[in-house]
Amino acid sequence: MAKKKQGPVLKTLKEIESLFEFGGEIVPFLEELFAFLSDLMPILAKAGQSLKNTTASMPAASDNITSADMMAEDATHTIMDNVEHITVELDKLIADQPDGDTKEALRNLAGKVVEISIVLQFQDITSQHLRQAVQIVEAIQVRMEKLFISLQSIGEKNELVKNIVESYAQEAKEEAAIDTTDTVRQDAAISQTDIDALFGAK
Amino acid sequence: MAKESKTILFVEDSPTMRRIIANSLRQVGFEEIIEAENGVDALEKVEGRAIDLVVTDWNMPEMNGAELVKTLREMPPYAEVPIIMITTRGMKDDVMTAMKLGVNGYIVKPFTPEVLQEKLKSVIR
Repeated sequence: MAKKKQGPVLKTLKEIESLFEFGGEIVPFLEELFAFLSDLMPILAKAGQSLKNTTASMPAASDNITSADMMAEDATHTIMDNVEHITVELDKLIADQPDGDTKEALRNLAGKVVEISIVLQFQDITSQHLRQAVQIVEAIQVRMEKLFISLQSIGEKNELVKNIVESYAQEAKEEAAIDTTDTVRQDAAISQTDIDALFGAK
Repeated sequence: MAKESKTILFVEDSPTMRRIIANSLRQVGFEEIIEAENGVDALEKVEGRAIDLVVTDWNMPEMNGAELVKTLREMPPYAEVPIIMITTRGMKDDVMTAMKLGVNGYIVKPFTPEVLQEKLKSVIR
């Protein structure tokens, strides 16, 4: 009878024993997993902050490209205005000139002026390439924003992870501020009026 | 260069290229040039007018050159009008597509005045 009652107890003890054995095996794994997560969190935090900073710099980068494109277009039109003016004046001179060496020289000159005008096609072609580059930068920005949001949501799900991420994010932010100062100067742009005012105040 | 009495519909979104090509067309002798910024603008400006030649870019906002060519070819007054496409698209597939749409001449930018002149001569006989 007593032996009969011992059966389930022994079975439970066996189960507990095997559970401890399993626990003994899993503890090193959990320790390794914890160490891995401890290493991974700062990397994720830095990656997140780096993504945030890079993403924030992208509108300035695409604005700079667009601005350079517009400046090139304005300059091209100024050249064209002058080329057209020279062409009109040369045509008048050629028409008034009797046949001879001078007329021929003027015609050659007019031909060179036409060449200048034709070469200005570079502006439109360059502009198209720059617009494509801007589109790529903007597409990357959208992807990076999504990636940043995904990384951020990892931290929001766990208080411990959140604390680690925030502490490393602050550190990375300070480092990034030094890194991007020289490459992204959009915020530091100053007008000629402001420069003159600074010199005037000296 | 002898003056041409023909009317050209010239479609180009880039102000720079519009000036360059329009000047080139004038130098070749074309005086009557209807300039448009894109396909939609072109169709509005050309409505009810007789056109002898169309010179168009491909990449344009609102309605691109390929769509314009397709639309013009479906309009009886312009179904047979010679069309020259001037574009940065220089792949063989692009040229084939343009040909299938009914383009008569194709020039890849950057071009020289001689090439433009040659194409104009070949499509306007």
